[in-house]
Amino acid sequence: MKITTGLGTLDDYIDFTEAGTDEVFAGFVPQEWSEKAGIMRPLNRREVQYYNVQLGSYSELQILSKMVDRYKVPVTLTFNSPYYDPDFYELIISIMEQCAELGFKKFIVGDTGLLVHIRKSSLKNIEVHLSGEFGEINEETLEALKGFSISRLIYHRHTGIDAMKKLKGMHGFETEAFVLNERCQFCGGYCSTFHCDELAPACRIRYKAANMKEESEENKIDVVGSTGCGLCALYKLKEAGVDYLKIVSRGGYSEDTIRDIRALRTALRILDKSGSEDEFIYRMKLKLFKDGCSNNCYYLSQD
Amino acid sequence: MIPSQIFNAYIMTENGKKLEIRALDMSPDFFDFRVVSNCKLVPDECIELNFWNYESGKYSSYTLKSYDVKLVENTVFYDVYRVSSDDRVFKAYAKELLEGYENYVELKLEDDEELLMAYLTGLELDKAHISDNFDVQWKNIYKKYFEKTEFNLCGAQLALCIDKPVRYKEFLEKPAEKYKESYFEKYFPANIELKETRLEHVYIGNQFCFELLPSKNDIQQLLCKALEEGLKASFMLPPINEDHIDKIRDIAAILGNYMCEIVVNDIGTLSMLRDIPNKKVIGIFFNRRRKDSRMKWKKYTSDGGEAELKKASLNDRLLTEELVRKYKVSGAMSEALDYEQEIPSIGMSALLFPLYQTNTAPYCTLYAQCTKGSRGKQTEVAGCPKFCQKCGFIYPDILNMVGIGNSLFGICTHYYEEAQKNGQIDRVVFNL
Repeated sequence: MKITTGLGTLDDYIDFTEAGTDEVFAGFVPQEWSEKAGIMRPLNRREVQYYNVQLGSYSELQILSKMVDRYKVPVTLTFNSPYYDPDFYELIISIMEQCAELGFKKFIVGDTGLLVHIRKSSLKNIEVHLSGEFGEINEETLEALKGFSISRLIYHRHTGIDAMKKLKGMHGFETEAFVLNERCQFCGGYCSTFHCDELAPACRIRYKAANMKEESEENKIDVVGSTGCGLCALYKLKEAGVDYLKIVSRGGYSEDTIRDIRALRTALRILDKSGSEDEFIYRMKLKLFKDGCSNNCYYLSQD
Repeated sequence: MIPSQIFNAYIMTENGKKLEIRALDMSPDFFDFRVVSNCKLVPDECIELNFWNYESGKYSSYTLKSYDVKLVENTVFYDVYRVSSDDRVFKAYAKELLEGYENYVELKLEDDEELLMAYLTGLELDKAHISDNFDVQWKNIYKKYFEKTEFNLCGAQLALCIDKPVRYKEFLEKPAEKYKESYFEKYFPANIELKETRLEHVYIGNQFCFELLPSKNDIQQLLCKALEEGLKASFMLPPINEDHIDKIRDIAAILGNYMCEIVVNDIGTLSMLRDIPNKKVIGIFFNRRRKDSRMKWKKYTSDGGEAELKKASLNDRLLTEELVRKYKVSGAMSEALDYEQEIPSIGMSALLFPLYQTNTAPYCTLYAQCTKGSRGKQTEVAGCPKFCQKCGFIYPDILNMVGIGNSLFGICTHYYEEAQKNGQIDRVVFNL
């Protein structure tokens, strides 16, 4: 299985590559978009302005292209908003064409409307990765996706591993699953609220649990995967045929991401040498979580 | 590095093209930028600058004519330049930008989201009152916004959602008009016109949770009941994952025996149902758009403001043509929102009111809270005990939002007649 990591600034590309990532994904929002579409219509799922989470200007893209030529770790660009104002599909295609001219030909897409427009456009020889923001995928979805240049399915955060296993046998797409960080409580594709500079995501608004026991305090500790960890599930993810493991990191600290990449690399090495799931989990936790893990598990099972 | 969305610039290169750049560093006296190695700049040309204005929510553009530029660093991949200027306007814009940015960074470093929200938007949640339950909240919302409203359907049909077990049972046990009357007596008691309007259509099923769908036996009974009562019916499906797809095939076989619409919320299921004779209507998860009960506190809007939210993907002609041609879609559901939206032109259009979905979890957050004590500890549901019939998540009264089952909802506090008057809405579907 390979590692794909979120890149918030091109300055991290070399460090992430040397830490062991096999691919990075990044957002590119040119000024043309910001001026014409405004901030209420984000181009990708990083909807903030005051963070360094986008590659930003075209000059950055040119520099990154040169880095990719040297280091050969490919870059996927995110155009993964769950919806767009249809007046801007043409502009999005134009931006994608600019990216493709520089050699960036892999795009993460979450909106059905954009898929339809890409298919109609003159963008050729590109790869589309179906974003986790697309929503639920079932075996019938695979049929519906034919003809859209899709080469990879990114499972949303709450996709069951059994479902991944079932689906893998039915298609030839690559697959990608979340494995570290930002384990949102709600499905990204079904989250319609703001994630902007001045308003926290709605899942973090205070609430009262009526007629229920009070929420237990989740202890935040500074370990790998403190906001979401799927390392214990790697054995099962491998069995389910997952090709890429996603580290969510755009907007986070670079040092933490490097730590995450290295930890995941270590876990994958242990996985290769383990004969059973129990053996893998034991050895992985011994190596990476001697003082305890976050207990904030992706792919939590019923028991 | 200065975030590219609060400052960027365009410089002229020797190939005659303007190149977009961002600032690596900035002060009121200079900014640094980089370009790919061997990119030749035209040093005497003006530089177009764009500064994000914190207060107005717009970019302030300025053309810098008087400046010095010098190479400060060569690397393997890029060259770094410094632009220095005594230009007063540049200094003023830069100072303002940097103060705003530093202010934001300081607030962020406090690691207190409520403080940040309160400072930047005026929304103070730490002191906000939260009622004990949603019944109390709804009573207050109703009194404030709807008690004196004249609900004019402008010729649209009246429809009700029958979307959970207790309602399935009640609908089966009562005549439809009595069911309707008791519904409006409970939720809209002062609005006589609603009680007096004939119920024409029912929406059975659930768009959010598979566990709340009626059993196969109940589906048949409910659809028969609707037929007997002279009501048209639609059956609502949530987004379907791989675990449930076989059960949906069984349900589809039953629905094929009744001429009911089917509300579909994922493209896989739409593809599967393509050839069955029932009309297909796309549900709210297809009609995705920005929805947030904190909309009025959203500060950083540019000229368009809420108008920028008016259109969404389902207003795209190419997409709707594809849906009609390929999947024989004949209508769409929208939700009443606290801003004006463009209703999709895709045949029949139904407007859900007053709840609008904002967040949904495929693995139920309520089930996680009740079984593991934490909303975040979600797993697949085994033998759902329907906690949602008794429990929920209650939010600050000021926000007009509620957590029901696996979803969060906002409550639309306006009753817009415009869309109905324009003939765009065929049905108003009460979904409380």
